[in-house]
Amino acid sequence: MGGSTACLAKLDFALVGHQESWRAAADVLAVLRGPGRSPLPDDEIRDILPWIPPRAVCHVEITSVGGARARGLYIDSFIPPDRLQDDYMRDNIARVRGAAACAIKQKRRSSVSGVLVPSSSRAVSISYPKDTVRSSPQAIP
Amino acid sequence: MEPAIDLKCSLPTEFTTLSPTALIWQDVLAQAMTGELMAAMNYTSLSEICDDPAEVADALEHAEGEKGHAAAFAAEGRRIGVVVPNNVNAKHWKRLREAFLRRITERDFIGCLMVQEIMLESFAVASYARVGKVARGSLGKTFAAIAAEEEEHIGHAMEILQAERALDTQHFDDKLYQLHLEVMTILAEMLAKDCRTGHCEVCHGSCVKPSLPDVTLSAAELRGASLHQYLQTLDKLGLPGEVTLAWVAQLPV
Repeated sequence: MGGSTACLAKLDFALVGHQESWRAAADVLAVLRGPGRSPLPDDEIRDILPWIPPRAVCHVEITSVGGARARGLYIDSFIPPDRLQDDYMRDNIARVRGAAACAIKQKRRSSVSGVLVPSSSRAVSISYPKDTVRSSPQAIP
Repeated sequence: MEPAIDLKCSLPTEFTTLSPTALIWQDVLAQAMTGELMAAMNYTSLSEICDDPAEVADALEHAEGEKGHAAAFAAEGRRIGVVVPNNVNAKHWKRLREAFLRRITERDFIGCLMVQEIMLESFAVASYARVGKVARGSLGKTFAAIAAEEEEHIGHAMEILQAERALDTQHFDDKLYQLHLEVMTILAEMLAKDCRTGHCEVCHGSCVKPSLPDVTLSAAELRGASLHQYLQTLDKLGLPGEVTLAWVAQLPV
């Protein structure tokens, strides 16, 4: 069934982000949909994605140049890629808050010790499914 | 199963001119009324597998409440000059009813609550709330008020379901996933942007979905709001968000 009792091992951080293009969003949904199903048409993705509440999407592991490892959870705020402008700031802040609430909930369940969110709506990018962090997010105290 | 109200779509003779949107609302009301009548039938069936007299009374009270909602939608139709038809034997609704009845046959009380409260009521709450925002006057107020009442029902059922999940999380989630595949697949087909698999057997003429923008609604919006509500309900139950996201992503479009 896809493991409803997902791994709740200790997490070091939760990372909040969003997809920057419809292509990237389509890739995320394609992975979730699985290889046995036809990909969602682009117009369906544009219709559905804005309605997805913020939620955990995948686990992230970061390794420093010194070899230290940190294990985290990537929480997508599901801000639609065509709504990144200032006009949507209020909605987007609400989504980021929702994602932070999701991280706090995970913290209760699995002892997340920090939440990372982008300093701007474009600061963090996740390459899915390899979970590669390409830029440095800022930590919220 | 006999429809509770005349399926013929004849209009009251005293209304010589209908509002341009009346026939759209007629179809929206028909879907809502059919859903309420089916919910009433489901709760009545549920009462038949309850052992505790208090649970029986509760289920029958819910059934009466749903009948009241159906009557309220019929009354809203009359206010705008249309007869609201209903058809619990329409193809999607019939399949939903059959899925529920399979749980009844198994005397699966929790399965019944999962189907009715988590899946069907999520759809009802979200879509009624959207209609409540855009429909004017009494029509909008009725949809909004019924959305609020249905949300209360969900709240009550959630307590029972959360307690059940706490007893055996894996078993609960496995069962919920099986029901998701069965029921949400039907709902997803019903909520598709267009009825590509043929007439839904509830709309009075051609499919109402392409006309919804005339009343500032859209099929995509109703589907999106329903999925949003469903995911939030699953979140409240405590299911991991990454898992339920995959469930929804795997639904047919």
